[in-house]
Amino acid sequence: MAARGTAQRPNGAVQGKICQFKLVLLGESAVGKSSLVLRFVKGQFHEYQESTIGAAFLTQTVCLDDTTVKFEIWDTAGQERYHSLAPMYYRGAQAAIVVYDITNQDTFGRAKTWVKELQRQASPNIVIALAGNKADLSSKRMVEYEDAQSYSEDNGLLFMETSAKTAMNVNDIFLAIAKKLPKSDNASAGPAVGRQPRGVDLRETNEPHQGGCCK
Amino acid sequence: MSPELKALVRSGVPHEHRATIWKQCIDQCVQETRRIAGDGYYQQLLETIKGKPSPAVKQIELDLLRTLPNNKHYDKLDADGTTKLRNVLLAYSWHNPDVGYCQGLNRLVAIALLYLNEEESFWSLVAMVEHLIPKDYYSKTLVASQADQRVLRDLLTEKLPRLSAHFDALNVDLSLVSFNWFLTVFVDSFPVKTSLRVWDTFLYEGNKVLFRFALAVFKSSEEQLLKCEDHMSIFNFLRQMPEKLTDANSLSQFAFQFLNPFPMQKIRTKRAYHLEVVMNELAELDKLRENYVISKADAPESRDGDMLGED
Ligand SMILES: Nc1nc2c(ncn2[C@@H]2O[C@H](COP(=O)(O)OP(=O)(O)OP(=O)(O)O)[C@@H](O)[C@H]2O)c(=O)[nH]1
Ligand SMILES: [Mg+2]
Repeated sequence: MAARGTAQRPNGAVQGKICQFKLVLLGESAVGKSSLVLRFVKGQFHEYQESTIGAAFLTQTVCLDDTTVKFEIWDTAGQERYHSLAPMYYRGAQAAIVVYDITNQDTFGRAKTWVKELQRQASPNIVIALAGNKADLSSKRMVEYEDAQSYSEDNGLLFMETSAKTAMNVNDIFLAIAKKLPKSDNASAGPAVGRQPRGVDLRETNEPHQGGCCK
Repeated sequence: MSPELKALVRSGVPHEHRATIWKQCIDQCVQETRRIAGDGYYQQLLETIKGKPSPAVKQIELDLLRTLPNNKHYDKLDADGTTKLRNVLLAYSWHNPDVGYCQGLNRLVAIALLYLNEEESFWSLVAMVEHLIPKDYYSKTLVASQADQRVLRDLLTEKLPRLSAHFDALNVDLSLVSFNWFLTVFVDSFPVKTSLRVWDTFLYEGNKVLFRFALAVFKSSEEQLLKCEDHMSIFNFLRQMPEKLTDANSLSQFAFQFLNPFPMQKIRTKRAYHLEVVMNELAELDKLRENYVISKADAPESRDGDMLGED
């Protein structure tokens, strides 16, 4: 799959469609959300990445065949009390990466809660990816690959173990999401994405205004 | 607090006087609390918490090296600054269990410690969280800081109507970015020198000045923001622009001259209104989450991830 896409926009290439998608990162504090984004957007890794207060906004573009996919990324704060802000960030999002740390079982439990919340309260067609981050620390592994894998299959999630530190699977997970997102002229008419049960619409979570379709 | 001093502070406290002025501002707030608590209060807190588990400990430890990581005082676990930072945050979580530890407080203490000793920094946190900033800014649901972002939105409509209409047209929800400004008192976004200027007036006048500086950010870049044609370019601009605001003088001018009048009473009224709205919204959200938990409990066969949304 790596042959088809790249995180860099090829210089001067003639592009076909341009799609814009809002993507949100959720997960417990210190699992590496900001580090994954930093790796994806700037190709960097900081041993001591500043903790995120509120949220941070970044953009990155990936190319898939003749389509340019622009990601509008919201990296949220992980501490539990910031939970009440999360709906503001996932409202209207077409994609989410829920992150846990493979060396910490609790963070996997928290990730499952996020998945549930997204399935209930985010846009019904949201593409959800689960990222088991810090895969470079396999000697301290507490969450088995198979467990996360079968959980993801049951819930229709994309799943990869990643490492923001070594860059393993970082571009790949964003690319996999880009591929799964509907890129027809009208996003809502796109192919069904996974087994996403219809959520109970809490508020206007399904606003049509932002991105989500090709121009 | 005389008008002359207020004007002086607004024009910038010289570096060599900063510690003195900050300490005075803090004393003004916490004198009474401090007298009642007694002389050795901070030391007692440190004794009490030694080795005690608290829900705050874990998050504080996670954040110590993720606080101003490029500042040499905080770049190692055994650095002098890191030790003080840990002590102050732990002591505070014990002193004020309603707040405990909230991410963001680490930034406030880290800045205070650049000018004040450990104990004074503790009291500066008491002054900030309990006097200078409205109640419930950092507690459980951050409800008061949520309300303030809506106050900011209202003020923008009044002070910069053209820009406000532009944001509306592009569906830009400012609070997505301004939360961080308010929760960290601009430490995350402004260059250090500029954020220290915010801090001078913040410690002297309270967090109302954050509205002034936030609006000054918009005023100072109004023309550029009006040229942005979609919400992505606006958010991108707002991420990069504040760190380029090295001219604290002109920013202060926008904040304190262009924006006048800026009556506190108006902010109070708006705050009270939005606080109630946000609280109702949160209650609704809670109810929804509760219903969900109950409906799950009713279905004994359901495991994690199964039976979602079938009701
Ligand atoms: N070994 C290893 N460390 C990582 C990896 N990703 C992140 N880290 C480290 O884990 C710590 C936390 O990473 P962050 O990216 O700040 O975590 P976060 O999820 O954004 O945390 P909050 O902002 O508090 O919600 C940092 O010190 C990173 O250097 C990884 O893949 N491998
Ligand atoms: Mg982060």
